[in-house]
Parts: sequence; structure tokens; C-alpha cells
Amino acid sequence: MVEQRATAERQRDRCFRALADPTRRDILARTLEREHSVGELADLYPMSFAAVQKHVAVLEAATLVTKRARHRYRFVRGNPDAIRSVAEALDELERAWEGRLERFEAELDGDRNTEDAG
Amino acid sequence: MPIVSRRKDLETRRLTLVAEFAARPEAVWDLWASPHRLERWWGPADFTMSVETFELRPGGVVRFHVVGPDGQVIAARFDVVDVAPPGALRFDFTSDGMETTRIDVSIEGLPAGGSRMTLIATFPSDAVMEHAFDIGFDAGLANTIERAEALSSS
Repeated sequence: MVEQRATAERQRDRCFRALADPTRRDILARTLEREHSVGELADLYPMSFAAVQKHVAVLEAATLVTKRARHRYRFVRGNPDAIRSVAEALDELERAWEGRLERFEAELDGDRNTEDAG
Repeated sequence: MPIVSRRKDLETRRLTLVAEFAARPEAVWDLWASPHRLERWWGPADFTMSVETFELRPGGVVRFHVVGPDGQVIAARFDVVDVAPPGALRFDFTSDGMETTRIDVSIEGLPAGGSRMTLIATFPSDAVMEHAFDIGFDAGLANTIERAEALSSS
């Protein structure tokens, strides 16, 4: 479980790094809306085809997008599940603290009951 | 449920929880300041916590481990930054294989009796992640997340 958690952390870290770049965020936003070919994406930014390809590769490594080949073209599609896992990091933290505060209150109530008994 | 308000802020990567208790601030503080009390509530649920080192002073370390129901052991520590009994505690919480979280606790008495404890967890403090959060969790990304959620639920 610790191992799994560490893997999840690394995955999340990769996501954050991938999302740190504005071009990659834009690619992600566009490919979440609809599938784009790499060529189509390359036309959108003032950079080389190779540079755009590299951005797509970073997003793909973070599982934020998936790529498929059709004929001579490569198509890119955003992965909503991976994006959601970023937001879930905070949800997870919230659940852990909710449980903790429940136990905190129970422990305080234990005090009071002891005082009442004494 | 002792929690009276909660706020999640993606931009400052902070979780803020406010809880209210019937007990006085000193009694609330005691649950943080005593290793034996801490062991009883820190958790997670069904885990047994053992404190090895307890130095609740600026620069001090609280070192402990928790043992799960299936025998798994997770080591963890608090690196204490600031302590002002019975009102304030700040530390960095690190658990095996997890990022470090900065925890700010403040406890105040309520006019009608009882206390309010505000807990701020800042997630995470690792420099790379912090950088990613700073530039990543802007309005643009919040929109992307919203859009993704709308897409995946439709």
C-alpha cells in the first residue's frame, strides 16, 4: 500500500510538472474538448512541429493525454480522469483530516466523561 | 461532526478546516501537547500509533510510526516550527513516501464557552511541486479541471 501510494505520488508529481507549462495546459484544454492531430496543434503555436511534439510527449508521459495513430497522422486526446486525480489530491487530504478531527472530538469527550465520573 | 467550516483553495494549495469543541482551549491543546493523547487520535483509523521522540519546541522533532491492521508499518515525523501554548502550533508533517505538508493549528476560546480550532494544511511544500502549483493552479487550470469534470460526467 505504501508502495502504491508512492507510485501515485510520482504520477501526481509528473502531472504537476506537465501542467506547469502554459502551452501544455492549452494543448490539454483543447484536446479535452476534441481530438486534435499533432499537425493541427503545431499550427496553433509559434514553435516548431518538433517542439509541439515534445510537449505532447510530456503530457502523454503524465497520462494527461493519449495518442493514437490513424493513417499518416497522430491524434491526441485529453484524459479527464488524470486531470481529476489532481483535484482529488486535495480531497484525499480533506478526508484524512475529517477522520482525525472526529477522533480528536471523541478523545476530548473521553476527558469530560472521566471528569463527570470523578 | 465537529467541523463548522471548510475551504479548499487550489491556488494557495490550502485546506482550511474549522472545528468547534465544548472543551476549553487548554484541554484542546493538551491533545496536541501530550504524546499519549496524540497516540489516541492521530490515526488513521484502525492504526496503532507509537511515539518515539516528542520534542514539542521550535526546531524539535516528533517521530512516530503507525502500524496498520495487516501489520504494515508507516514511519512519520513532525518537524516543529513554532509552539505557543495553548493557542498555536505549526509543524511540517512528513509520512513515508508522501510529500511534506505544512500544518498550522490555532485554538481560541469562544465567548459562550468551548473552543474553536482552525487547522490549515498547506499541500505540499516540496519546491518543485510548489512551483508547479504556483503557475499551474491558476484560473486556466481551474477551468480545465471544470471542463474535464463536465466532459466526464456528460
